[in-house]
Amino acid sequence: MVKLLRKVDKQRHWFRTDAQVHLDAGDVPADPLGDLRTSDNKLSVYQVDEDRSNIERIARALACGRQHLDDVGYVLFDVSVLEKASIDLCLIDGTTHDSAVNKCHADLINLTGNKLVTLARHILLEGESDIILKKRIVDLVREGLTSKELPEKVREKLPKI
Amino acid sequence: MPVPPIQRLEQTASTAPSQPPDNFGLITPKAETSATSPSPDALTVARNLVFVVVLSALSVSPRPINLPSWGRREIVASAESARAEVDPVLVEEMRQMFERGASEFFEDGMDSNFARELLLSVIEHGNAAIAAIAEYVFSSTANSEVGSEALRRLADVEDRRILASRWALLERSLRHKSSRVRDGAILGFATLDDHRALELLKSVETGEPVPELRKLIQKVIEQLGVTNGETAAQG
Repeated sequence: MVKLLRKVDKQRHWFRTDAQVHLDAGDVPADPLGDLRTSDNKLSVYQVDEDRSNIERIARALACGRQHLDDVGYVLFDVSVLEKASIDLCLIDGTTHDSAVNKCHADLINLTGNKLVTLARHILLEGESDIILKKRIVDLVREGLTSKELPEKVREKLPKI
Repeated sequence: MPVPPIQRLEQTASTAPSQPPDNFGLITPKAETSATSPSPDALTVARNLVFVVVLSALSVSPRPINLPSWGRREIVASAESARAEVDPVLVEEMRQMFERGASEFFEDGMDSNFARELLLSVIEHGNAAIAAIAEYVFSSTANSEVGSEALRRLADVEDRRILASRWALLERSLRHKSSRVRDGAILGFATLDDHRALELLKSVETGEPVPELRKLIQKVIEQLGVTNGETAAQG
């Protein structure tokens, strides 16, 4: 089953242990919703390969879109969650520095408050969260520059030694 | 008589098996006043100059939240001891700074006003700022989100004066009651990338109740293991 990746700024907001009391009450904690910030009622996600081999590449591309390289937190959830939350998905190229990653991009569209809460609940219940540490991201960016998967202008994001 | 928090912190650091190794060379003033070290007066002047330059750079920035490129660079070396008294005025300033930070949404990889203020305070006050941060983070009214962010960002500052006190604060925070603060401390150690934290992290891993944090600790341990190998390879 296809998995979708959503970048989150605070992986700690997605700790199931911390959310459990709200989940048990049929609710969700509010903080994770901060990582589901929509624009035009849309939310960016990326399709993950079945063997998950493109997760680091997606994370690297997302990291390069920031002011400086840092940890990249993300949540992963099954595409079947969208059906449970009545959310539509629209495949559309992304805008990162990595063209291959852009092809994995999709928007969750026509989102509403209720749909977002339902999505957050399913991610907390059935999904998973993880983080790629800054040091690994820096290594990945160096590799991406060497392999030309990333444009040269990304080099300025690398920490000065 | 209750022991002031900073003393408790120092006692913890001095008795813990994972105390920052002596070869930081920063804990005793004697180590910093060797024949090759600059005089204390020169250090004070240098410190003030750096502070003025950083402040000037920030004040002319066209983007109000733009931080200078300050990741893992050495701001200034100083002969100041890691010990610092808790300054009530600084503690109150820090509390207000953290409360302002609570209104910000912290995005990884993006600058924040809170991080900038925190950096400037650490540059200006050194160990006294760390002591004030510890006061806040372990107070009953602390905002765990901002506290976590502070621990992460503190690790970006390479100011030799604060190495020992920062290490002690991060170490103490690994056992904080808030999982978010613990998360910030673990990520702080990841940013420090000092293999001497390996044993410390291994010691807290099994007792960590949140599975996601145990996984994060394992990830940092793995990273530090690689760092350890790199360090050994460099001789």
